[in-house]
Amino acid sequence: MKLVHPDPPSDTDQPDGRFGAVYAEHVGFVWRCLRGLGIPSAGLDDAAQDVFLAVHRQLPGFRGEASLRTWLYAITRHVAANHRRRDRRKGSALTPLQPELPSLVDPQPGPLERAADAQAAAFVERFLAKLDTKKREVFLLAFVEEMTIPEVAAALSIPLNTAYTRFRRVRAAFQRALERRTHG
Amino acid sequence: MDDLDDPALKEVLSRARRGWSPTAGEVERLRRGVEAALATGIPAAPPAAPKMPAWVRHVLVTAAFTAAGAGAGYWAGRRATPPAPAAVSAVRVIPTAPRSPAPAPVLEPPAPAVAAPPPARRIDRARHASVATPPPATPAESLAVEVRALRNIERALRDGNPGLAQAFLDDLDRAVPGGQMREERSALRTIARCNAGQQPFGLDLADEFTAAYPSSAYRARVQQACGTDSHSAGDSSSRR
Repeated sequence: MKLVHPDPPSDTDQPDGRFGAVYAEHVGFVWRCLRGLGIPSAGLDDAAQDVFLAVHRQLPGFRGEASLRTWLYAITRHVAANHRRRDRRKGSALTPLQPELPSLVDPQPGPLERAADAQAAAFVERFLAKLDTKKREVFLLAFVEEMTIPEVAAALSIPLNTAYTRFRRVRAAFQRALERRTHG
Repeated sequence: MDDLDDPALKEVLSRARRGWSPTAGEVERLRRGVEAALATGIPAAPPAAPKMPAWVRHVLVTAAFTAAGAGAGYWAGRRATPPAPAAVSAVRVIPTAPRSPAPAPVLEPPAPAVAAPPPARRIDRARHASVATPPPATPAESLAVEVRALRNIERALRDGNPGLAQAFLDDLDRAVPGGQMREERSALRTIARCNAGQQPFGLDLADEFTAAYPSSAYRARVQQACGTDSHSAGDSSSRR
């Protein structure tokens, strides 16, 4: 993936402007993946910071063998697992994938739009919570992040056919859930 | 995404994507946190490793990931047990400015004693946690959240970071709407806006604050931040 910074790198991006570009372009991806992997809102800042610090350390070694999102997802997945493990050790009441309303600081969309977005997000989170980890990751990458199935297979290091199988099963389950939501 | 043509499904996913995305404030806060960590101590990326046999690389990589699993992996330098004492001071994210010797009104409430500072990196962690915790259940918890958050906001202001202070105030307003320390919040908000140069033309933020809290102990500090302290010589003496 070509790294293009939308704006000239600021001083704070130096000495590595590429890192600033990666941050600007993929912060949403990382954030959503962390949510999809069960990091609660209160821990998102912390986990996302860990991801980007790891990205900063490892970016010079990234040579584009995989797509950038695939590479970022591997780091994000690792960080999320560490955070969940740490929270379990601390015995905190972390409840993965508990639907949470987004914060209301961004006034861009209207309140009705935001409410609809929040409802959809909560619905998807409830659906994700019912999936096992393997299917959840496929859903997250293929449906939420709109990766192609070959990209999903690469990100999860699984055979292409396995990825397609999981994709079809998850899609069928999601459509059933959607129908229940619409008609129920 | 392959083969997803159902409009209803696409709409739900599109909305969920928006609902899950970080707000502009969250992106900005995260960016500042990462920048601060990078600027103050996260070790730079290691130089390119010399060529080595594949089996050696495998062992090293395995060891590195094992260490990461134990809490000392990729970002060992920023954990509670940093690799070297020198790194502890190096990774302090938000240095605490020396407190003014003057008896100026201090926005930090006097209640709990300040504990010995944790390892540097934890300062930032604790600060984020303090404003990002779920809404407290009882008034006592609310007050504790407010106290912690106000201390962190104060620290951000002392560090010359009014944008971060405002982000923390936004978080606090969400976590504890209203709260018991409105005067302190209002004072910090006013100071942060003035420090950030966000004073609207023709509007005196300090006067607004003074009108709302005429006998506030923070009046002098607010006026100083907003450049209106020449009006009140008595206040300036209490600040120095």
